[in-house]
Amino acid sequence: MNSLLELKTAMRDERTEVKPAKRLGTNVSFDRDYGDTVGEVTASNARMVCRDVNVFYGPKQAIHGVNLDIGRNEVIALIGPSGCGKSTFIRCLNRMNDTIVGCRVTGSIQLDGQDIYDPQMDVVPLRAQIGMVFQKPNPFPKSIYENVAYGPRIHGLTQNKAELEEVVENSLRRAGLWDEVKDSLDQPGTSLSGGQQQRLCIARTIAVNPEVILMDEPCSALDPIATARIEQLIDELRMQFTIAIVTHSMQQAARVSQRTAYFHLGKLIEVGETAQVFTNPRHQLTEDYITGRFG
Amino acid sequence: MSVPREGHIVRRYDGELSHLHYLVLEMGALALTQVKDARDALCDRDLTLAQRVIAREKDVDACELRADSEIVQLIALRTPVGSDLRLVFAVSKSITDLERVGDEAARIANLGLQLLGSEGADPNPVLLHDIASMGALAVGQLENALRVVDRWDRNLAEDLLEAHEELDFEFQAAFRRLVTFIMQDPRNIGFAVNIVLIIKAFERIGEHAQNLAEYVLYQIAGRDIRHRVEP
Repeated sequence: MNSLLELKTAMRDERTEVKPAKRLGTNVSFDRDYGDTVGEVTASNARMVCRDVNVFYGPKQAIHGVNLDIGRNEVIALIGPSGCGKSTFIRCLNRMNDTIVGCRVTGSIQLDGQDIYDPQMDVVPLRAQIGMVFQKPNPFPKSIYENVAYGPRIHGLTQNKAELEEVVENSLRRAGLWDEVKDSLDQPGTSLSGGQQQRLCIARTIAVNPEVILMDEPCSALDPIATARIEQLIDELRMQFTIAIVTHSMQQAARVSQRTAYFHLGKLIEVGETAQVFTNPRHQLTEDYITGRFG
Repeated sequence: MSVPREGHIVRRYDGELSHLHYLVLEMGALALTQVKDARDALCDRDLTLAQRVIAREKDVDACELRADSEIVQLIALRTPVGSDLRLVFAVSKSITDLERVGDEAARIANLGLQLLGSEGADPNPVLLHDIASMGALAVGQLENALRVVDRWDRNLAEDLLEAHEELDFEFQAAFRRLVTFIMQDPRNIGFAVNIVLIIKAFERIGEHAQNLAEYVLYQIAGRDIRHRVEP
């Protein structure tokens, strides 16, 4: 009966104590305590490495010491109640917070080993490397073609018109929109439906060949069919890109992501395999939030 | 012991989960009555009671259908996650086990009718002794399992799981005794085979009771401990 006794002990330990998250391996250049975060914050094939990230809006601290890796070819979902800091955090990942007056970011965020907050870093190519799709589809007031062609053109990614046309077609195909718009490329992007506009924005993002795609509630303005199309697209894009998605829909997080991170009051409370987080969350706050007990 | 199903912002959800829990207890009480009556029918040689057990089996089956339908609805409408999901899963598994407990009780009642209702000599009362002891153990384990489900009590569940070998040992001992009886007088074979099948059914009821305790532990701790290999 030893095994049962061991199990008893193990189960008691697990529920009553919050285990500290695993420390960094030797291959990472610095070592820190992961504070209160429960779960494995590191990824074996990390593309983005965030350490001790703090964000302040003036005197108010919005993010407290977040450590998180985002792995290659994974979709990580950031969930949490309104105001928990998940959008603020995702906006740190391509320096979108730079544009907010009074916003200050400390800590370290690396993309493939390079600190994106390095003063030498040029944010324009950075934002091409780390693209972003927003809650509300925001196509440029230009034609469908121009919406996709604009990025590659200003970043000088193509040599001639034929190459540019190829990039536009490929991007629209990868965004699952080509068949619907191939005969109306000169029509304004704003003439498309909401779901199509969002896929156009995704096509625009992938046209500049990014490494990471950040999505801030990309489906909250869409109906279930358009949402399903975007979710299918996310699953396909994962093969090539690294994706971080902020979503208010826990079912969406469960459907599209491999890892889930739960934020609460600016802290990263728990991170883990999505299946584990949704069947057996380890932190009480995560459990309360996902089961709808959040008070 | 904390009750895991309360505290949702949508309070009706609490009620639906509570109702599922109630259905398991209701079905458990019915299954327990069936097992007790099947045992008493044999021990008291009460053929009418055995027939009543057989007739009542359909009530256990009806409970299963009702619970399954509520579970499917709850999954479709609420998409439970976390401890709620584990509760629904544990309830669903428990319902299946309780339905099988009902089957075993009816099997015991049927075998009892064959054993006691046939023409000719009654079996030697000594032969029936093991039915009473195995029956008492099985009823005890099922009662404890239902207490575990009722109170969501981890300690009680662990105690029950630690006692899992009791019925097994008792079954082996009874089996050896019955073999001795057969060797002493081969005319006992017909009775002995019936009795082996009956005590095997009690042993299975004990296993189902153990399963209920495992599901409760899974619900509480989120860890599946079924099919663990003893060192």
